[in-house]
Amino acid sequence: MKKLCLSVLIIFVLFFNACTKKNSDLKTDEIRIVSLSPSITETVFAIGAGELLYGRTDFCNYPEEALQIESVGGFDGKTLSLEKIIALKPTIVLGVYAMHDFMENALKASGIPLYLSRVNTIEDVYNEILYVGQISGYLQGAQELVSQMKEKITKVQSYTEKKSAVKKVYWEVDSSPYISVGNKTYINERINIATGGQNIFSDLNSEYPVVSEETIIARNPDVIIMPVYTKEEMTGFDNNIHFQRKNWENVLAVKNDSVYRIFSDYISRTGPRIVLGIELIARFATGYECTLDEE
Amino acid sequence: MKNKKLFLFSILLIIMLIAFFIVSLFFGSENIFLLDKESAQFILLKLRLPRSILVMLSGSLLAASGALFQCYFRNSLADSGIIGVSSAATLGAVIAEFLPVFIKTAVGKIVTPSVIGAFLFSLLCAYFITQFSKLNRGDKSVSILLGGAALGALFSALTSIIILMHDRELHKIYIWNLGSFSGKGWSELVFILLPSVIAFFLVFKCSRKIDLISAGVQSAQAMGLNVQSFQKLVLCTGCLCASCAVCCGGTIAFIGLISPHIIRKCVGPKARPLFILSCITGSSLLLFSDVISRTAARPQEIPIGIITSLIGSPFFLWILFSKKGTD
Repeated sequence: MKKLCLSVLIIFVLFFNACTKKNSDLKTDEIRIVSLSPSITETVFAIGAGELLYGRTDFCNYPEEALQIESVGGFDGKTLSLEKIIALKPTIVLGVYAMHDFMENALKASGIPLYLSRVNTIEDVYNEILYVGQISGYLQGAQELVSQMKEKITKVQSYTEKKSAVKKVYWEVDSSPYISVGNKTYINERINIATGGQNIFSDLNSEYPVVSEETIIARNPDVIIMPVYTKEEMTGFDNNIHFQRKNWENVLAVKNDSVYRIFSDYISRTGPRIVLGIELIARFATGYECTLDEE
Repeated sequence: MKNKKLFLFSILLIIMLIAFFIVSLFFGSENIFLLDKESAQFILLKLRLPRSILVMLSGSLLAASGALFQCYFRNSLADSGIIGVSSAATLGAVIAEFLPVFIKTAVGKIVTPSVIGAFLFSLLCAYFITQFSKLNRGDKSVSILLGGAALGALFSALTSIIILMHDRELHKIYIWNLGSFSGKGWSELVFILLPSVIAFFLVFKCSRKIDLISAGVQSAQAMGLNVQSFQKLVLCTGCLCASCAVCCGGTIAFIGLISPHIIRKCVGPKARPLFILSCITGSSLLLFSDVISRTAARPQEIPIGIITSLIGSPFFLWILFSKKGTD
């Protein structure tokens, strides 16, 4: 019996050793990133650091290469597998503030730093791209990306400034109940950049206010933009839908056939593709023309 | 309470309802007195009028289902929430959101898809509950209530699973759970009109016999009531009321619970006046709450469920603990 116990113990020790050895096989200068945010995943690929990404979430579905990377669960904190994240042995985990804070202590205990993204304005987006460039060693790629983005945004802004008749935009998050965007959201900022400040609900302080139908009709928007959540719901970039809604016949946007759909990821993901989102809003609201591509 | 007093009390309630109805037409997020005639007329007739009627109807349906269940189960906590119908409606509304786009657009031509989803699922829940009544012989109304609560928990869990997989819908479902009549109008009203009329007719039918059961099932049986079939009728009726009410406005807390209690406190437990007056009270309360929800933070709308609970609870507590009244 004693012998058996001893041999089991020896086997166990050997096994444990083998496991820990694997651990020390890691190169000390290797960077292994786990991204818990779809927009950061996009950033990592856009700056050319995709090879350093070892984990993503189910929602990180862009670019296509990202799908090859192992997923650690859903976007929301509750559906993520902390064990899987730790098993991937990341040197840094990139998450989102208020969503992934809860794993800070657990990760710290395993010696893994956690970055919590707090991106809101477009300036924040630039800073985050540069930060991801810094920690991944792809700073140059990040700098190039940021300057490209800035260039495109400046182009939109200078075009809008020249236009005298800017149109009023109603952003419809949902119609049952009617939910729009107030001035505290990044969407409001994107609309401001693209149209020069013409969100009809920019006077509201809540982020996603439920608004009265009669106020929407009374404010009479020239353009209605509705985010859609799958690419199939958009047909190409021009998404003028022949829109009808009871009681809305006299709203200018409906009368003049200016109701558009926009793929929500271009707006809600605070990564490199926001430029495309802004270009699209400008196109809908002011007729801005440019070559649109997802890169 | 004497007949004359009851009559006066009813008149008072009706006047209150009419007053709230008028207020609900003239007050909203836009000040119609400042608008040009055409716009004012448009807002008044096409947006506010149908919504106010819908709110009134939903309020009275909620109160009717509450009154019916409370009388039948002889349980003062019973309402559409406790038997799972509200949770079922939420699940239906959520599922309707995730239907393929072409179905949604096809259905959307008649009425908002979530309204149909909510209605169908709450009817499904009603079907399950009436099946429970087959399973348990005699008077085990408590087990029907518990069964309903269990169903409610099941539906909530299923809803949570769907929402967890689709985070971005969270805000919308959150508002659904708080209840809101934003953007609802004629098409929803037309959709629930026929089922509501049937529901009210059945409530009227139940109200004749329900007094018998308040003294206990045995004595009701002794007086010749077929308890089994009556139970089924009550469940069908109450669930139909609740289904019609929650499919448009979402789960609205408290109206179904407090309206019958207020009336019972004032006019006593006799079923017929209790049902009718509860309906009027429910309508008034919900209309009043809707006015607040539209005007308190205009042009924003506060979900109506928040208002019903916020105003309803203190008012209810006051009624509950005041010494006056018959109970």
